[in-house]
Amino acid sequence: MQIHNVFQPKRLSFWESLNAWIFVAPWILGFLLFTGGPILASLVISFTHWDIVNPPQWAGLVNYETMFSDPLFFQSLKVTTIYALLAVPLQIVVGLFIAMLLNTKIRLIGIYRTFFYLPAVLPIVSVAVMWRWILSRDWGLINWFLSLFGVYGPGWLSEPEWALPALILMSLWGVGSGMLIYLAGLQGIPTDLYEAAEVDGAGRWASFVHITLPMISPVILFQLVVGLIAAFQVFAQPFIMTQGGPQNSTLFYLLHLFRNAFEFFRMGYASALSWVLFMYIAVLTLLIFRFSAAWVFYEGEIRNE
Amino acid sequence: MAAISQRATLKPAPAQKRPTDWLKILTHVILIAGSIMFLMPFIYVVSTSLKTAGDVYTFPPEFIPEPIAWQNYPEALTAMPFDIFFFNTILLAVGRIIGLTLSCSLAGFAFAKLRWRGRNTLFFVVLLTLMIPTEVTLIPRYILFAKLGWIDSFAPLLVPGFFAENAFFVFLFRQFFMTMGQDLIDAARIDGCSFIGVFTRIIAPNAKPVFAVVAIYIIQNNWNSFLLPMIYLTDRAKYTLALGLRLFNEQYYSQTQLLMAASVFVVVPIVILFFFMQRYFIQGVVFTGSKG
Amino acid sequence: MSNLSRRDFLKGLAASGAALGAQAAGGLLPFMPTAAAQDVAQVTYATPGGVVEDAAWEPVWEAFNEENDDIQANYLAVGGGYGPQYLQLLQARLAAGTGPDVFFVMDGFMVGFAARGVLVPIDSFIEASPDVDLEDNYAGHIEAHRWQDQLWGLPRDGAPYATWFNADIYDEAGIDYPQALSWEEFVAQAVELTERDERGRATVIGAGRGAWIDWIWQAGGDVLNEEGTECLMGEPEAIDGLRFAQSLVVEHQCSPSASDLADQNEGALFTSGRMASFTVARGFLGAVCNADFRFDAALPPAGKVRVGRTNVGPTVMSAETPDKSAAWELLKFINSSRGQTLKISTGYAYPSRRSVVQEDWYVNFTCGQAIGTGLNTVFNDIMENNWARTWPKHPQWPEVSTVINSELDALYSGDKSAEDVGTDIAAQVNAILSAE
Repeated sequence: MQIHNVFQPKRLSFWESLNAWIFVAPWILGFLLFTGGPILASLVISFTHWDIVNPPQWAGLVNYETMFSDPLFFQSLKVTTIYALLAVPLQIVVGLFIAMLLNTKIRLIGIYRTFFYLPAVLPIVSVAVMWRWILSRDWGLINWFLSLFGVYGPGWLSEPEWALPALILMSLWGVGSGMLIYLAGLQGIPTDLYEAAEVDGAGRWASFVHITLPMISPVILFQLVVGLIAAFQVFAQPFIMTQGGPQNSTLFYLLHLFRNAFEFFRMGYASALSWVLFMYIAVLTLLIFRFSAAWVFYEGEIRNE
Repeated sequence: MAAISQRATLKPAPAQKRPTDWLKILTHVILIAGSIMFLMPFIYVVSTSLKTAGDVYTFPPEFIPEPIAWQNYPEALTAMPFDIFFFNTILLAVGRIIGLTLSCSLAGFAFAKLRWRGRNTLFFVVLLTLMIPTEVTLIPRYILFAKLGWIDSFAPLLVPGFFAENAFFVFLFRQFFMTMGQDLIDAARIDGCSFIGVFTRIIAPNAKPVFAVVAIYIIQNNWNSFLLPMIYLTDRAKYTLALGLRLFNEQYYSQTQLLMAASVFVVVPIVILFFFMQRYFIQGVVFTGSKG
Repeated sequence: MSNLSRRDFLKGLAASGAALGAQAAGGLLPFMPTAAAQDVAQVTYATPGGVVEDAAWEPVWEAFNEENDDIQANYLAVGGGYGPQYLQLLQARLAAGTGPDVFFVMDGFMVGFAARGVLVPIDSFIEASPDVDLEDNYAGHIEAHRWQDQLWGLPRDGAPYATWFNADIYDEAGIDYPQALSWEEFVAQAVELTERDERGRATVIGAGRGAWIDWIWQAGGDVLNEEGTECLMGEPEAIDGLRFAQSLVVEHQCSPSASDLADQNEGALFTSGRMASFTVARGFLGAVCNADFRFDAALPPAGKVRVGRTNVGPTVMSAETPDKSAAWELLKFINSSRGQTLKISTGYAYPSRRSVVQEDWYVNFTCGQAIGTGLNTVFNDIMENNWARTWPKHPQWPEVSTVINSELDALYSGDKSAEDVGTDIAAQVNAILSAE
């Protein structure tokens, strides 16, 4: 057995590798037993015509070719990409801002945190009617507020240009969930860093930019990647609020996929759609990781490749 | 960054300076305004839960019910065996917390802190499993569990949890563990500490916040998710709270006020739990930076 | 204090652990699948269900199990209405071979299921069962289940559509209650009933939009040809129907706009007293009973043709069910007068059989502030006179209707003319039909 040497990180230790494989063994087993099979199955199905109940029929690349002549594929890809590009950064900024506020030592802070977390646990079905009221053109809270400034607000859910922004706005009420991760991340920042910065005469903004942001950059990376994956798989919000309308302006990718899979009985095509989505997200994630080295800071970073 | 943390250890820590009052007031103002906005959905649910069936549809909605229909609560809670649903939900949550935190944190540790060939590749594969929508794996997965004879049992919901099924948590653990200083780990290794010892004695105790966050997430998911439990569970005696709530939601005649009353009953325990659990992820031990 | 709460928490945990043990010992072990009794045929019926519907079915299963010693009826319901999950559950189970034996499938999906070979045609079972008394069902409700000259199911209930009106709003405006209006009368009434506040917001909406397909039928058009091979939405008759539908919203502004419907659906607009009338099935009675205004149901408006629509609750039999005769017994019982009477005892749903509709308790059923008997007689009139058609039958109907709904958004917003909408629908639907 090779003796490990922590001071020579370039040589991999057998013992360390063995331990690592043991630690990830549950995941590997789970992948082999439960997760991998169905994923592989969906890949195979994407090369077939399958109506779910009858044996699949080999179709080669037909499902992938079909996408190019499916205007709703492009529409749903566009809608979902716009949503992801706008909602994810907004969620990150708003979530971090709230977490910063909630990380201060002031009275009642525990109650504030609970309030901000609350919407994350309310099922969207329960609050759909409230959102319809808030977003209403004629009777809504938002348009009432705009009218104070002489602005005549749009029909948020009924006009094709505004339905997607309305859903993006709604999604911000769910940041309480992501806020927890920021709060946990902020705990890891040693206070003496701030104290030192203060002694050096750095202002709050400088401390935020030079200490807080780098220190929680791994958490931001996490939120970015996970947020992106989630954004590309949004389903419940458009399904309940707009059903993809008006005029397909909120036809999210998964809505289109769901309809093909379970309503139009084209599971083969739906599987192909999901593998195209998969490749799309995978490439974006790879790019994010590639460029993350420039802005993500790991204090205890180790590299082995 | 290393320079900053170095300096931190060189200079004596000054006494905590109190923030100026105007900043405190501004923070309160922003937090109160935000709280009102974020509380609105819950207030709406509570208010609807106290309306009569005829008042539910009033638009724009009135926040103060008139008359107040207190009877919705006993009516909603006796419409179904919520005690059994509650018990089942807790059972699943506890099982999943044990399984997922153990298996995911270990995997996260290996991805974050150990050096081995194939680490980054395998980690990316873990992430890839998040990117395939449930819609297309749902049926193959159902067929698999049906072949195993696990349908209508908790097994399809519990067992995969012990196999780090949730890539999201593996990723979360990895990110947090990666921020922890390597030197302490190396020091412990030199002192003869095994890798599992490093994990249980150094990593885990210093990562309480992330464990608490994961626990909260599992509870939250377990309370809200209904697609998979609905697919796998038939017997009403095995239903969870989320499945029970759906039974108020019907095609022709939904008893919205009862749904809302039951929702309040379901949500309040998580909120209370959150309120008391937050200190676990707010008061994490500061791990890095304070060397020597 | 904090230590105490932690100890309490642990105590609670221990208590629930003990409770788990007790429950496991009690035989209710949730980790194990529930075992079914072997000596009787097990037949499962699936439907979306929910608290109210479950209660309605309860007496049906009781009676069925009492009358059939050798068959045990089981009930699988998951709530959530016709939402996506029921379709997912149903198809996952059918794919895995653990599907229900008899189940409810939404109107527009029945033919899609039949075409995929999921269902058993029931003609031979009917022939072998003299007691089924098919004629007692309204013809329209039975025809809804016929596709390619075979019957694919029987109705558990029917849902003809009629006009429900808010009598308070009509009285206040001094207008006669609506009854079998012509298109012109319908528009004139709706325009007069519509009220707006100083900001132009509709406080009372004159009439619901009506189902788009009703207007097309009433103009003499149709969606598909007889064979289901061609879309007729680009024909002049269909376009007339579309033009009328559009005029209600865009020109006359007497029906809910897109923004009104983004606030509340037509049912909620009506129940909350904001809309004078709209068209819906008898099942709506359950919701309108709680409303604080007087109401009744009446014959819907008619154009060139007097025709409206009826939905049905198709009850179908799975092709993979092991004991078909047991499944047939259950299906037959669900459709029978006795089955429907037991289920509709709340008086809300509408039976598919005239013998049930004409029972005294049903004819005299009333609730809330209903002012007349229209809600009991009008649906019978519609069905007896064959004034109701069912949705077009095509395996790809769900996809066709998705295309149409998206085009209708542009029709009702006024972004596109009726001609453009009609021809665009025809082009897209023809592409779907030819692809199959």
